[in-house]
Amino acid sequence: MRGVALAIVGAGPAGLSAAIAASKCGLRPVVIDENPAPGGQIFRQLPREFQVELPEALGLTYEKGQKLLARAYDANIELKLGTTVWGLFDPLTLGLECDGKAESLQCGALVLATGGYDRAIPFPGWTLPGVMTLGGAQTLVKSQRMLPGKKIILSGSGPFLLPVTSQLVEAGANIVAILEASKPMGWLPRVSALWGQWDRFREGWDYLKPLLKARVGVRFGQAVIEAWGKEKVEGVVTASLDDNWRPIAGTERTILVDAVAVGYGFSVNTQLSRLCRCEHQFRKGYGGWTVKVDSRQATSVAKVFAAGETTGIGGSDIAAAEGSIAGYSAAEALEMISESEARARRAPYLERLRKLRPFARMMADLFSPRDGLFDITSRETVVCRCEEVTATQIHEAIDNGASDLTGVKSRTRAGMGMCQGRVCGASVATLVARRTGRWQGEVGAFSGRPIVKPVSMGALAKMGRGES
Amino acid sequence: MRIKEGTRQVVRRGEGFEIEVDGIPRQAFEGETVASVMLASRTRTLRKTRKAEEPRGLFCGIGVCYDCLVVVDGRANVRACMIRATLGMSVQTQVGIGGGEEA
Repeated sequence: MRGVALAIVGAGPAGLSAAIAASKCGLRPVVIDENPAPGGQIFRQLPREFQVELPEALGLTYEKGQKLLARAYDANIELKLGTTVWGLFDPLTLGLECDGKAESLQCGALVLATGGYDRAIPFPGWTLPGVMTLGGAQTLVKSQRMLPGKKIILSGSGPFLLPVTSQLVEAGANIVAILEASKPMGWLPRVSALWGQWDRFREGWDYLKPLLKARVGVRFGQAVIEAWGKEKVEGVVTASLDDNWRPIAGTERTILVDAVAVGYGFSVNTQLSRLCRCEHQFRKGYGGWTVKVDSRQATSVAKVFAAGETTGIGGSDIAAAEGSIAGYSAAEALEMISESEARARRAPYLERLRKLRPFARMMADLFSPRDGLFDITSRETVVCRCEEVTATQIHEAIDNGASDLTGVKSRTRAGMGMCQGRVCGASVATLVARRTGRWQGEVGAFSGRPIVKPVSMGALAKMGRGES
Repeated sequence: MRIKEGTRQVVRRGEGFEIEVDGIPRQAFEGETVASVMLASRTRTLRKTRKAEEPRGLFCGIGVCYDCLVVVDGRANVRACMIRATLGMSVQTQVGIGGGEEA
């Protein structure tokens, strides 16, 4: 088995920043990511085989990503790409899989920068081909130069709607409507947090320009509540929402579309931190169950650090600052730098976080889905997409005594499929919380267990025989 | 569908070639994922589920949800959004757990 001083999982802004920081302290960290190129979701690259002729047309995020990647390529870092982490064992040993081959990697310290992914709220028809997440639609445009359909509707809440729509419009997509569940009137009490966030304004303006040019309007206080079609989506039903985001009867409208993109904020990836037995905390609006860290980005487990969205949704600037802090803290834990040097190196990033966090807090408050919206999950709606478990089946399990997620999982198989509860976890938690009249933080989360991502028995057997 | 690069070409795709999807040759370009090739050839249904045999397509697009599973060169349960199309590849829409060797 191979051993390294520092392993970092995730090559997004947090993971790369951690690696750059650690490399400045004399370490050569190994950064592992599933994707064929670094950058994470936000700085997802076009394939190397595609040639960018007009980089300025790809926008601000592309520019920012190129800068971070250039710094990462210059640093003394080993990038292990196209590699999935499927397990984590004591003491600090990662189970990896690359090209059908499994191997293990032991490390002295570990930084988890596993990021997040779109949170979708189940509604009738959401499993139809053509219905996808906002991130899915964005990835098609940004990294594949593909459009998800000919007539597209977007529905969700939060700042992510804007860049996705903007990128689609710039690529020539026909956007039928953009539905934002919140209402601007509700924003007013919070706008003070915008003071001093000038970069955010510039970013917002960059995204708005193409929308204004294409005359695409945002409809506030509305959502897609149903999708229908035979073999693929052919249309949606939309509705106006009340102040608690509950669909108002009688406001339904039918719109013909061939693609739907939905997203109500993000969930964070905590499967590896769970395997590590790190302490977690429930943070509404920040992605649900998140890894608990201190100001050094240290988790409750020695030599294990976490940075970026996995500690709470905050965006790429916060992720990068947290990553840098985690990198220096890991170097300190590995005795590459002294405690006082580590403290000095972390200081500017802590100051940066202090400035950035009020904006993230405002976003979490404004756009976290309100309770009434969960009414769109009808009784017949499939909630666990992998194991095809409906809301009714989950309700029956609760009525038969399941009081938390583990109970629902063992009775219904929800969360036991290929995605290991990544997609349905938040939805099942909401169903349990609502049915039992409790707060989501009280009903737990799916327990993490290896194998978090599928790996073939053949690959494991070869690893056991030492053939990899 | 692929973005039409107008007079203001932003990106040039990789070299073109063909892959086989359910026995039919389909246009692909180097760097494209299998999901993109299928989407470009209007194949929205990437698999049918095990129990209800419901059609499923691309959902998260980033390798999280495992809903876009296809059979690639006889290997089942491959994420269409994560695997690149390569020359000579043969892809099948997956039915249930896919029958072939487990990936």
